[in-house]
Amino acid sequence: MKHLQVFHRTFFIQAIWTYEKMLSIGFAYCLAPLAEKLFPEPEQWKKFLRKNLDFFNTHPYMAGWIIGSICKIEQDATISGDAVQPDRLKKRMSEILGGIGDNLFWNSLKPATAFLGVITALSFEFWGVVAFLTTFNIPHFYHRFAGISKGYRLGFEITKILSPKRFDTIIKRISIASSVLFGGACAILLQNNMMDNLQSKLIFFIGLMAGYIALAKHISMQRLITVALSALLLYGLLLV
Amino acid sequence: METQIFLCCILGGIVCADSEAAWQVMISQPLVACALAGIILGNPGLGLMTGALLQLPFLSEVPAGGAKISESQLGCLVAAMLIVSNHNAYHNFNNQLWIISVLYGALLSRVGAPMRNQLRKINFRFIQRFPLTDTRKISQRLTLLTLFGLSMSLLFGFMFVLIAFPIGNLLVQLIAKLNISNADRFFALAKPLLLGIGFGVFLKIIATGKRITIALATFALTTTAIVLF
Repeated sequence: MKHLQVFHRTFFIQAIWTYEKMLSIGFAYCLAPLAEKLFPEPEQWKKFLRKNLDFFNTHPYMAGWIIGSICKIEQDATISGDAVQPDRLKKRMSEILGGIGDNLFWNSLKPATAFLGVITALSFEFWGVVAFLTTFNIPHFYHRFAGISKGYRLGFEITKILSPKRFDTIIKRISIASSVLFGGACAILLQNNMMDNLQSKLIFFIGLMAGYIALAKHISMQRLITVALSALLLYGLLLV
Repeated sequence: METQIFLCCILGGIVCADSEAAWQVMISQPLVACALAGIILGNPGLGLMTGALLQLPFLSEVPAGGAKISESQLGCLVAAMLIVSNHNAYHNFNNQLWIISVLYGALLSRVGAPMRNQLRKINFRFIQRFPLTDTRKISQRLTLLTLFGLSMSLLFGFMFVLIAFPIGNLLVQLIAKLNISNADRFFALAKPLLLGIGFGVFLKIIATGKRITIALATFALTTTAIVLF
């Protein structure tokens, strides 16, 4: 039951995000229900929460792994009376999971699922939204929930199952699927109503090259869109 | 119309919160947010199409490690609202309306970024005002701080749309008075152009030597299949 409460709270882990503390307040907010359950004395769990208010940053979807494992480690230490250092695990895992989360969700899954959504939306309208939200959120919800329960079960052992190498395979597969999707989508799109003449096809290709080069040269998309659309607008007005 | 605008402002709050402070279930993405704006304003198809075209160019913007990124989601939402709400009033002017709204949305994205920065600073000031280290009510304080952060985000999105939409509407009405609808067919090219930019961004994200080969092979195979069947 407490796991569900923590799962619910992880959705607000970034609510009070600051440059100075990053996710630390949200992290302690998520720990609170488990801490109250794990430590019998109120002073104990309050001390535990205060200890976890230092700087903390990781990928928000992956934070559950650390929340679960930290609680397990602290609980075991309280029972056995041993002195443990969960801070080192917290610091190390937050860096590793931050990298994994950014690569898996922001750099691979989000572009792939958004592209799938857009392509589906161009042909099947609202099914595109459904496709995007479903394909993105199933792994997202899985990591949020499984992170807490598996992290709590495994404690220190999470370092063994959360190696970046394991996720590299998944990222590689998503990347291959994205390439197949891209090739297929380009072929289908060129037959679409929006591309019914040579002029449209040509301008699509110019846009494609511009988007590719702009990202390679780190030009912001706002700037590119502003320049491209303003140029089109001015050229059109000159034609009148 | 006022009720619809009010609902869109609430949607703005949700979009702003979803993009960083809460949930992050991708409701804030242009594909979803613009479609929802379309539903609220009575033209779901147009809202969805606008969102689909605006989704891909902004794929490269990710909030990794608290990076300072633009407020593109709210900009896209306001652009979609302008397009959908003015669509029927200016039917000779639709493509031009589309370009002007997207340009306005892009401008808003730039303005929104420093405002988001301020929001993060306000959060920090609030934390300093309610310190957590010396308190016995730490659990309640954590909830209070989280609720504050969430409320600020919702309020920021709400106010952003509430202010940006009427200004955009005025701008559209002003430009419509110039009566330059002759070139409207030419302006239809903005859509393939924006879609092309989005495809270019996606290609760059997935691009390595092997992946481009796979993409080209799939393109050739699909084209052959379309031509044959």
